[in-house]
Amino acid sequence: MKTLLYLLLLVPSVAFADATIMQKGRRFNPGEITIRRGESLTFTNNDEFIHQIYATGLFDSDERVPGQTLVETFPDEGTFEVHCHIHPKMKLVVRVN
Amino acid sequence: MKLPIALGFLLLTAAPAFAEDTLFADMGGQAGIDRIVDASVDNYLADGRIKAIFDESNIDRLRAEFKVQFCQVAGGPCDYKGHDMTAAHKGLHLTNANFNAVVEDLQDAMDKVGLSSATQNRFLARLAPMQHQVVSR
Repeated sequence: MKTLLYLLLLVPSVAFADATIMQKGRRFNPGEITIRRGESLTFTNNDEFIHQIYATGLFDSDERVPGQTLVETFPDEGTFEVHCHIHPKMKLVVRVN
Repeated sequence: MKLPIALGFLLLTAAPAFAEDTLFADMGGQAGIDRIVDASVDNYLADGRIKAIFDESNIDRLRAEFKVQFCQVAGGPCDYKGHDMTAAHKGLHLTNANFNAVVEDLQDAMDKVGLSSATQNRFLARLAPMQHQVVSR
């Protein structure tokens, strides 16, 4: 019983930890993620293409060549879409609790 | 006797460096270049040989970038701040056939806006060195 309780307490902390989003094949991977308010996401350009990221009202980054990374923080709760100006089909949904 | 000959030679060799670059004006200035870019991008998107290359691209952004770059290449008052051609085309794995199709569509666009063959050739000559930066297979 105690073990189960510990597991229940541990699992959410793993699921909500700061995370890395990979840009590859002109897609975000994963395409959806849930984080806690104030946490950050690290975006790594593992693609052959130049990318940038923006979320309306939150940030609008410079362009990043393959191999570069950037970190963005989500200070408010809500659901946000992250896109790339260069490749408009790229979409990441970020749920901030 | 030797000095006038030397001076004449210097003037002759220096002439191209001082020649006024009229290509931007001959292409109709920025308005003319905008028309060429819009017509050429329309051609690319309708060309079955290359339209798939643009499937994932932001076409409005592409048009804007081309307009600045073409302006700069033509000697206009623009400062292209985009990536170099090698970085910009990395991952597309373009072939010579792709590059040639792009040039054909550009020529067709320049025909459509009424640019003379001589002016077209002057502009294409400035783009030609980009081929080895764009083609990667």
